[in-house]
Amino acid sequence: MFIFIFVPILAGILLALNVFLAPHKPDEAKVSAYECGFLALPGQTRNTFQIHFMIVALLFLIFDLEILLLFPLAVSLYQVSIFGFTIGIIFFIVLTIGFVLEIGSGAIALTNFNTEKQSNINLLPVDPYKNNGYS
Amino acid sequence: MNISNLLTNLNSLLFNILDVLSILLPVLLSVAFMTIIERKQLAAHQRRIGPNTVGYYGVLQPFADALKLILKETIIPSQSNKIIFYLAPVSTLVFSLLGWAVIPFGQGIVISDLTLGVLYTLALSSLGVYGILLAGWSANSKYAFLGSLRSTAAMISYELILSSAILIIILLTGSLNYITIIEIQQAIWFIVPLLPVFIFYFIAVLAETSRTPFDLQEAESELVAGFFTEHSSVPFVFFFLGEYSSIVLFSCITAIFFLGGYNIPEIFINETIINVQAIVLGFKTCIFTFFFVWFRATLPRLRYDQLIELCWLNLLPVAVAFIILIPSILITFEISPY
Amino acid sequence: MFPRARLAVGLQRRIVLAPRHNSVQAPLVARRLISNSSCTNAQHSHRHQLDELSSAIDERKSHAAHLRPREFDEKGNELNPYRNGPSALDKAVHLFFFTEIIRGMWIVLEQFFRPPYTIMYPFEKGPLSPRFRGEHALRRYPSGEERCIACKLCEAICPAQAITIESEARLDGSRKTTKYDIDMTKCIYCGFCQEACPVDAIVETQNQEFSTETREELLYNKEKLLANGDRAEAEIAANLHSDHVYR
Repeated sequence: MFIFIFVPILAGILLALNVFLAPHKPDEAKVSAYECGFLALPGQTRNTFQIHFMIVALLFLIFDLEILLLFPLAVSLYQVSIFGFTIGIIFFIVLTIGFVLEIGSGAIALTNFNTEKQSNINLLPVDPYKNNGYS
Repeated sequence: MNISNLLTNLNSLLFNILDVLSILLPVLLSVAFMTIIERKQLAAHQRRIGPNTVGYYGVLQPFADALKLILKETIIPSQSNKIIFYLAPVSTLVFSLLGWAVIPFGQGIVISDLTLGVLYTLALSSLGVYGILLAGWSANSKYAFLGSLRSTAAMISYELILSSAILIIILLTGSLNYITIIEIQQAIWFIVPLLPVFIFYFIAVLAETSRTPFDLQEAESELVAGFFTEHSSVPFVFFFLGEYSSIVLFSCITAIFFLGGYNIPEIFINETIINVQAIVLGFKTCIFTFFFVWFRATLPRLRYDQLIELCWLNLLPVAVAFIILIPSILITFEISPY
Repeated sequence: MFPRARLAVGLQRRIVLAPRHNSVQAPLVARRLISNSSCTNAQHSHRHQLDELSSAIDERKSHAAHLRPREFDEKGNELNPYRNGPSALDKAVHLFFFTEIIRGMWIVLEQFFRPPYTIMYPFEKGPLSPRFRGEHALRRYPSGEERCIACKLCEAICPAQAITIESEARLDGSRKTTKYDIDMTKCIYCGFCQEACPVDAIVETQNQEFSTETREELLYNKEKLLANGDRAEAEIAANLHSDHVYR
């Protein structure tokens, strides 16, 4: 599997070419974080972010695992036949119940700020103006 | 170790290197030309001409671009985490190029004929997320961070759809080996019985390669350039190459899964120097790359919440329904394909 | 052949019956029809559009006669609020077969096979209007006498204050400029100077390709402006003549 060595080497060659051939004259404005014309305040670049992204990642973990757990069943469906398939269906029913629960609790909905139905998962972002001296 | 043994080892090593080079150089060339194809085709869709000065008909444009980018200054933001800042683009490029290791271009023309080739592809496409995540985090810029968050959430969501579509194909073939999948399709291309599966598979592929209408991390009007806002010159080239390499790779995999890969009617197969099978696979790949650009020319970008809802509320239930439906049909009628 | 001809006849009879100035809804209906019809906008001739439009409005009216009335149960709830809309099957078909996306993609594919509109600029140039406002020039009378009488109206009206004029009586008693500078880096090409000029002295020519490598070259003085006028006099005169009926 020479390819596993070759591809990083290729990347290294390109980087080395850049280092040797390109100019390198950094100045303060150049190396500051991009901020659409404003000065980037140090410490503000790492923002809090919405919990939604985290929930999606957690959901992915569960459901991708589920799909991957079915791969052995898919490969051996004709050996295990109807018995294995039944097990698979039971597995799916349990997961579907979980999935319905997730959707019902509003885990997928990104914006439920003004709905009357309150979900039991807090999707509101952390208040960015709380502790930074603005208010 | 005697001399002849050493020579044999050297010989096999040399063949290994040649193997890899003979696959990767054409791949890199095709990736380079994919960029010019995209620009020309988009121009044609919008009734423009597109790049036409560098070389005849503008065909040398990607090389001019690459040269320009290599000769540019690399700017590393002072706040960034330097090592991860370099590691992220390299990992993106490496993971998308490594995917070519298991693609069969013809009978026996494959770097490594893994038994679990499909699983290897899925693993690599999952690993591709790391490049984006690390790039967004290490650049220490708001735009890069937001872009990487969005992109990661979108990619991992559509990963599910992709793997469930592939699961359905595995149900029909009963093997995770690409060559087996192709040989089973000698009877019929899977796009015929699995057309609905193909549709949501292709939607997932568009999202996996983060192309329009799912190119949220590159929403220029909101996020500048998304997760690679801070990357310039060669690190940018790596992201660029990685993205286009994964477009070509996924087109190729789609051709293998749904259009029968290198299958052609047997009368056309001959033993001459020209490998018709590889050309056929290339042609089928081109169809899907055309689709990629065609979608980009047509469809507007989805909003982020629409993207997530489309995945979880619409596509995932359909995918799960098909995962139950297809084996039910297979078991009921006892139609074993192997 | 035959059924198609009969269809055309049928349409024509309806056109006669249908009033042309129908309602406020007509443009809306027309737009929907165009977006639903199988051919693209460009292929519609005006006539074709009108025919289809009026016949379709007529059809819609006849549909309106068949609208099912609202029905209520004893509690006052409406029984079937969707009774006149598209059926669930229709909606499902449109959703699952991506009809709208496919229609859009077909249009984009059509454009793919058509020739581009591009004009290769430095090699090909598009037409310029005689009123085009480009580089400035000062004109002369046919005798060679410069037209400008140093009235300073252009200096007064210039919104960007790009014009500077100094004047002095000449030996023959006529008032002429000693200095006529235009800062082309300030100029916004509004054309007010040539509108204000009572003797058509300062004009804007059709020349738009006068970029320079330094800023100083864009600070035009009187000699430069007069030279511009001498070079392009024929063109300026022709343009002014072609436009004089509208002034």
